[in-house]
Parts: sequence; structure tokens; C-alpha cells
Amino acid sequence: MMAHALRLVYLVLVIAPVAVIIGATIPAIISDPGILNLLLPSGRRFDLLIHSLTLASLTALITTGFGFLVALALTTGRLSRWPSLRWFSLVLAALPPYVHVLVWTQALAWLTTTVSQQPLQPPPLQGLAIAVWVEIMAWLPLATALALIALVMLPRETIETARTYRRDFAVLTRIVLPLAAPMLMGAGCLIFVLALTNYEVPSLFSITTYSLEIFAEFSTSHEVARVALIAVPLLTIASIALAGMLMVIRRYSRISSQLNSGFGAIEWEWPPALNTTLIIALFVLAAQIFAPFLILILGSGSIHSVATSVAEARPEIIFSLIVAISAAMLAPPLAHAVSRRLDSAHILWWALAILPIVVPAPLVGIGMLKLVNAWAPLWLLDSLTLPIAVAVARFTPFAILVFSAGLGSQNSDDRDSIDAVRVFQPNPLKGWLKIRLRLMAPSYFAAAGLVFALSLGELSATLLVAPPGRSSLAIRIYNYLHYGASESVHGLCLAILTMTTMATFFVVRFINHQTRRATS
Amino acid sequence: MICTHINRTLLLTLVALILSLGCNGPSAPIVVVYTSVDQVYSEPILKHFAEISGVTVKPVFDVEAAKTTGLVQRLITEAGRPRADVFWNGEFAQTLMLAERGLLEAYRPSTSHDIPEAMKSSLWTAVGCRARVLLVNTNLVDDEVMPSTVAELLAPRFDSKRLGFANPLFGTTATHAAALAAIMGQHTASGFFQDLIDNGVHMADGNSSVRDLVASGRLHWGLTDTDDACQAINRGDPVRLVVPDQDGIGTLLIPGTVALINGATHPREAHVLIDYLVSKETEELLIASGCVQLSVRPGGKNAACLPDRPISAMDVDFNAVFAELESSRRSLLDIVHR
Repeated sequence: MMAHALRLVYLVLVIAPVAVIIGATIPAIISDPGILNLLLPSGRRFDLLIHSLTLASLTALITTGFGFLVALALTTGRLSRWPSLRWFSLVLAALPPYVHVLVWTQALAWLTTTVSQQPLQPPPLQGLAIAVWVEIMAWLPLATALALIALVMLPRETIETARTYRRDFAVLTRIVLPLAAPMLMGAGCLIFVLALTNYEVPSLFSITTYSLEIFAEFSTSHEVARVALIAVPLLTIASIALAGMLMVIRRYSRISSQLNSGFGAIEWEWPPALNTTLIIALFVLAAQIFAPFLILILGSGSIHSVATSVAEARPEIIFSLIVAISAAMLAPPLAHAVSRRLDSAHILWWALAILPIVVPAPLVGIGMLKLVNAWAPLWLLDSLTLPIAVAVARFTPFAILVFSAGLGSQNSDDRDSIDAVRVFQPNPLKGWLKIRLRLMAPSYFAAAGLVFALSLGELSATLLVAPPGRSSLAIRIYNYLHYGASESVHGLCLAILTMTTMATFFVVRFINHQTRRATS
Repeated sequence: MICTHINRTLLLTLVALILSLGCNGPSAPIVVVYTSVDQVYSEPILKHFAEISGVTVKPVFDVEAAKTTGLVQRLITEAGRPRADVFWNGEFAQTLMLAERGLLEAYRPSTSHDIPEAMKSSLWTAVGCRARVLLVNTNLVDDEVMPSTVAELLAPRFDSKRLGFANPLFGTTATHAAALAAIMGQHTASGFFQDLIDNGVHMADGNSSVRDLVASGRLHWGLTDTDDACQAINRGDPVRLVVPDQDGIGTLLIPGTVALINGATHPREAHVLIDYLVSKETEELLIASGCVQLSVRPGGKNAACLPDRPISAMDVDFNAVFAELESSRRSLLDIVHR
């Protein structure tokens, strides 16, 4: 009953805005069937799509490779003695891509002038290489997280048996990699989708992408139907990739139903070449974490100027925190309820879980606005309800991905507990709160942390629904970026970084606590 | 038990906060303004208005990075039940688009009598003005070879990879491209941008990027707006502002615009705000703050960062520029998005 109600809320909050956009497109097609040509990219748009696919594939491939190497270094090297440390590779998971652009543009500019010792600045950074590098930095925490999950879940007994016959490197290539491959492929698919739908990073390095084409159409015609139709090819490709990812994660999680933390306890002996590669991977991780901290601290001037920037942005910080905390509280139960429907018999729910991830953010905002603007009372429109609703609409599907991995990994003891509760529970709500919720607590916290962090940086949809007189931190940062107020931008980005680091810290601490309780 | 209690308290506090932010005092006069003018400039002006008028101003700010999918799209979507009373735009093309769609209501501000007819219509009025200019790094370009026209972006004496312009699909560069199309014809204007790209001239993400690239020395010079150029000058960067084409077609002026929204729920307060924004005093404040650099009034004082001589403006009707905008963008899509 409870799960049905939550799925209904999911349909209203997450699917209805998308349905409104589809509804607005149909009359436009009827009045001008010619616009259906936009569905099939041809000529220039086809080339652009291929170009975008190349960029996204390259990003996904390299990032997943780096993520695996970083995870391997954190679980099999000296650092494996501190298991909590490995999850801190995720502290920048939610740093918006535009902050990575800011950081790496400055870092590489400094590096090129210092290394070449030339007084003159080199030409502007542009092109595929720098765009791919910044995208790698933006998505590396995600790739590392999924690779860590893949390694931690490997069956220790199988590996130990194999090690008695062959050297460690052979075990890695013949046993570990094939077992971890499905999850790594899942990571690759997710990063592919994120890179494919992101226009900001490539655009800042003079690379045009298909997702920028969508925004160009917005600016040119302001017609939602045309924009929606142009977006369809991108949505289709991204949906197929995401469906593949979800299927892989669910199947893989079932195979590895016993969460096994023994992988890191094995004393691995790698050949020198692999050891060197792992050290390089750790350097990349260190650069990914420390460069943003360093550049933002140096660029923000003094503690006083950071304090001033934060004090001036207090209303926006409060707005963003309320929205992010509320979305983080609302999205996980909805995601949990939907993820329980994701098996092969419910193809429709698969589609409903995937579609909202790939719909461009402005369309989600416009859909939400169209949905409520005509009838909602003013007090509701003037409250933070709509910004929270769009955050839930945009990021609940990401929480579904977290639950998909979490649900599959429930072991037989968990399922026995649930069955026992079904018999003895005084009412379904108490049973849900006391047992199911506690069993799923790590997934809830991981999903909440992810939604919190993503909501904190949301811009495009919030812009369309923010109540008059209220504004978010991301909107303020973008305004300062345009103005060129470097110190304020650095100070506020540092504030975002601090908040996401704290969120990561609490989530990791809670998951560790829960794991220890479960083990004991 | 304690944990549940804390959770319940947290939840109730959050709900109360979310909803309380939607409650207003019953009698306070209010005006809702949507503005694409940078928050750093518009916020102090709106606060000043609130202080002197006693009207509570509720602004919604736009950001350049949203590529015009923000406030304009919001105004279109809200057309049946508008939330905004006033649209204060940093340029004119989107205002004309809203006018064409019937989203604006006629209002002639009482403070607009000294503004020329070219800078106002029954539906909108100009609020200060920016211009398209060249920003040159003085450490890298000598006085003798200083560029003086936009066309010199194609001059062989400059290293084309060290010159820049913003993406012509968005913002004021899109308007500039449409203005060139209105004057020279679509074919010639598109050809110019085609040549820029073929020659490897750097296409930046926006005008502020052009400013920063020139100021840092990564570009020698580039095409941008006066507000960006003057920011670089005011912060002491080694740059010079050149008003282009003063012996030829003149430079394109980009007036800011303000308009009353059709069906505004607070029309009286909206009139007062529009009168304030259009007034000579506010224009002076906007010029002093760096939001705009040129007065729209004959004999009005321009910003100190501009050359102290009259500026020759491009002789083009704003409606003609707007009429070219969509076809210009479609044509540029084929050039830029390859």
C-alpha cells in the first residue's frame, strides 16, 4: 500500500512534467507534421551527433579505466589498511562540472607558463584533449565509486583458490577483471550518458555538441515541441545506455549477493609495471581532489573575503540548503519504491525510471511550470515547493540507480527478516520503518547524499521555477562568473565544496557504522 | 525513540520553513521583476528603489549560462497567468520577441520624455545602453597596429588564433550577427562568420570569456560588449577599449529595455518601478556602477572608460535586427555547429 502510494507520488512529481512536455509536442506535430523531420538527425546534425558520441565514448572509456585503477590502488596497495579512506575519493562527486572547468583552466594555465618559463600566455585552451581531461576529472569519483563496489563485492574464496594456481597478475586479468567487468561496464554507461548530455564543459573549450544544439534551438525558436523533437535522438541513445547499465547492475548484484569485504584483505603482489601504473592513478586522484581545494583557496583571497562572500550569499545558501535537504529526504523513498518494480516483467517501469535522467533540465522546469502554474495557489508558487519538486524530479532517477545496486545485494538473511516481519508486524508502516528501512539504510543514505549534492548545484530547472525574490547559490555563482568577480566565485565554490565534503563525510560515517553493526 | 523525535522535529521545521517562505504580509505593496541584467548591477538598483518607494521588490535573476532558456522561456510558459509585472532586459531582441508574442502591455513611462523615439516604443523603453567594442591587450598589440574595425578579425597582419569573438548563436553576438545581416544581407554576414571560423579565430563561450582571455594575454584582442571591456579596464588589466567602425558603418548599440508584462498583477507598482528604471537619475547610477556605458538621452554623459568623443552608431532599426534574428541564427547553426 505504502509502496503504491510512493510510486504514485513518483508518477506525479517525476513523470508528469515529462508527460506535459510530450503533451505539448503532439499538437505542434499535428499542426505541422513537417517538424517530425527533426527526429532524424541528418547532414550537419548527424555529424554533430557522431562527434558527441565520440567525445562521450572517449570520456567514458578513459574515466572508467582510471576509476578501476584508482579503486585497485585503494583496495590492494598500502592504502587498503584504511578502508574508510577509499570512500573519500568521492568527496568531489557532486562538484558541478563548471567548477572543474574553472579549476583546471587556471591550473593548466599556471602549469604551462611555469613549465615552459615563458612570460607570454599560450593561446586559449581548447579542443578535445582538454575537454576530455576536465570531463574525466568531473566524473572520476563516480567511476571510482562503482569500481570500488565491484571490487569489494568480489567472492574472496574464488580469488584465493585461483591464487594457489596462478600469479596475482594472471588472477587479476583472468578472474578479477571478468568478474568486475559488468559493474565497470555499468559505470561506463552512466558516465557516457552524463558526458553525452553535458554541453557546458565542451562548449567552454570550443567544442560543439549535440546537447548544445538543443539549447541553440531554444534560443532560436523558443518552441518547446521543436526542442523536444531535436532532443529525441540523444534521449534514445542515452536511454539505451542507461537501460543496459541498470540491467547489468541488477544482474551483477544478484550474483554477488554476499557483500564480501575480503578483497582488500588479500596480500596482493603486483608486477612493477602495474605498481607504477597504480601510483600514477593515485597521483591523478590526488590531483583531482587537491587541485580544486588549492585553486579555490588561493583564488578566494583571504578568509575575510570568503566570509564576506558567504555572508552576502546567505539567503541563497539557505535556499539551496533547504531545497537540497528536502530533496534528499523525499527522493530516496520514491526511488526505493520504484526500484522494487525494476524486473524484466515491468518494462514500463524501466522506461519511467530511465527517461527523466536524460530529459534536458530546462524541459523538466518548463514541464513543472506548465503543470502547476495555471491552478496552484500563490502561496504555493511563492514557497520553495517547486524548486524542491524539480530537484526531486531531476535526481530521483539517480537514487533509483543506487537502490538498484543496493536491492540486488540484499542477502538471504535480509529477505528472511522481511518475511518474518510480514508475519508479525502490527501494521505495514511499522514493519517498513522498523525493518525494511533499517536494512536499506546504507542505500538510503547513499541515495540521499547523492541527491543532496546534485540538488545543490542544480541551475537550469531551478531558474524556471524559483519563487520571485528567492535565488539559489548556483544562480549567484553563475552571475558572479559572468561579472568576473573571481574572489567571490572562488569563495562560493569553496562553500559548495565544503558542504559536499561534509555530506560525503556523514554518509561514509553512517554507512561504516551500519556495516559494523551488521557485521557484529 | 530520541532519533525518531529528532527526525520528526527536523521534518516539521523544514516543512514550516518551505511554506513560510511563501507567505507575505497582507498589505505590503509588491512588484515582481524578471531581469536578465547581471545580479551584481540590478540588485543594488532594485534595493534602492525599494527604499525610496516603500514597494517590496521581488526579483528573479537570469544567468548567461542558461543560453536564454531561462527567464524568457519562463515568461512564455507563464503567459496564461503571469507572475512577473516587469521585464527588465539587458538587451532588446528578447523584449521584441515577447512583444511579438503579445506578452507585453503598452506603457509610456513619465520619465521617458527626453528619450529619442528610436529608443522606445509603446511597449518598451530603453534603459541605458551598451555597445559592441574591441578589447585589445596593450602588452601584446602596439599602438601602430591597433585594430579599428570588426572586419580586422580577418586581417592577415594578426595571428588569427590570438583573436576572439563569442559564440554567435547566443547573446549579444547573435544580435550583432543579425544586425550585420540587416545591413549587409544574410549571405555576406554569414560569410563573415564562416571566414572567422575557417581562419581559426577563437570562438569563446561568451563575451565575458573573451574579456578574460584578452585580459590574461591568451588572446591579443577580441570582440565583446562595453560592460565586459570596462570591467577589465576598471580592474586595471592591461587592455584598451576600441570603438570599432567609427569611419564606416558605426558600432552596434545594445540598449537595455524595460517593459510591462501583459496581465501584470501589480500594475500600479510596476508603473512606479518602470518610471524609476527609465529615469535619468537611475541611468546615471547604472552608468556609474558599470551596468551600461552609454546614455540613451541626447547629450547624456557616457562612462569614463569610453573615449571622450561622440560615438558613431550603426544605422540600423532594432525591429529590422529582430526580424533577421531567427534566420541569422539558423544560418549560423550550419556554420558554428559542424
